[in-house]
Amino acid sequence: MASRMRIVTAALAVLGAAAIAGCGGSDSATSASPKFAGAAASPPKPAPPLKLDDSLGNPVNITDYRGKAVLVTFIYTHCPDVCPIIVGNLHTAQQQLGSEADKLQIVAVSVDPKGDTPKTVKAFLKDHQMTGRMEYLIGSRPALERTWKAWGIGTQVPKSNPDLVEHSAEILGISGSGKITTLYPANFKPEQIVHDVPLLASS
Amino acid sequence: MIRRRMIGPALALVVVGGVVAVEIATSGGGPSSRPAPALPTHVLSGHRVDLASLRGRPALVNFWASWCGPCKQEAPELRRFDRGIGDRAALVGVDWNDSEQNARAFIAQSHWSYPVLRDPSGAVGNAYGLTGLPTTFVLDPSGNIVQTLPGPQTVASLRRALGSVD
Repeated sequence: MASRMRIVTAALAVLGAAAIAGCGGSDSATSASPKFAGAAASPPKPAPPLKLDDSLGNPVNITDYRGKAVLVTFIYTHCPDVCPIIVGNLHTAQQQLGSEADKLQIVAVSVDPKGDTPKTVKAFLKDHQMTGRMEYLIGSRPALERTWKAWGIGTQVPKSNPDLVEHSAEILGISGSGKITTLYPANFKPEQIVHDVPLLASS
Repeated sequence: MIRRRMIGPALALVVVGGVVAVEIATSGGGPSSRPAPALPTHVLSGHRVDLASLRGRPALVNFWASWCGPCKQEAPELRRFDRGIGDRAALVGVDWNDSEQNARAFIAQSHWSYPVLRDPSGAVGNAYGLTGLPTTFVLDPSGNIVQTLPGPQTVASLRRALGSVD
């Protein structure tokens, strides 16, 4: 259990001194802040750098998505449990957003530099009906480790099964002005995303 | 196999990317059991079922998807379990957030003959509190969830779960 606590600490460190209000708990933010369905960072904090290649080799920089809500999630393709649930619910949220889906960019960052290859990512996106609907960023271990560290993401390969990766699973909501503004647990509801995307995009 | 303990809300941000072999169990019919949310209405294969039609005997509700690797591992176990339980209990599959075409192909390959429903938006699975696939929820004869079995199950583990409800 101690190791899990360490990972939690790392995951939340990205927000530094920013407090996270509970779900729907943006009361602790200023009165002018929008009411988010996700946990609201108070105050929002500039998103760390995020520059990696997608699975097709195209460079992606999170700053290219200014003006949109960006959801950043850290996953791996052969994750047997929660990653597919996260992506499935993001898929549902995108569908429920309808025409407002163009205000959202989903960015997944690999937590498995060895297992996440252009081939496995292509298959993963196809399986989850997300081809062309989300970016899945991969890279070398050093490049990914720099990103994990910047974003406060803990990863760990369990000795008992080196095929698996234990990792932070929260989804970070980045505002249109590039700030970490909301946080969603792995078991978020698509409706939370649908509610928050327009607010995030305009924040 | 990795064991995963139930984590409290304070730790909910962290997951273990592991195949889970442990039961997240509540005592059968005990105070921590809860009413099962309604099942999907879309039937993929087999006959229509709902919670009312399951009342009177234990039921296992198995959430899966065609893209889920551990679900492929579990599929033959479910088939064997279903063929052995007779009328003693009901087994219902629920395909979560999946392509219907892929799901139908998966069912055919798995030779499942029990009812399989479709949860295309994932809403039903979310209402059940799904945190990974596959996951099997054990319902008592009154329609309460009394056990949650995360990860791929075997005939033995399913029989064991069923035995604890009887």
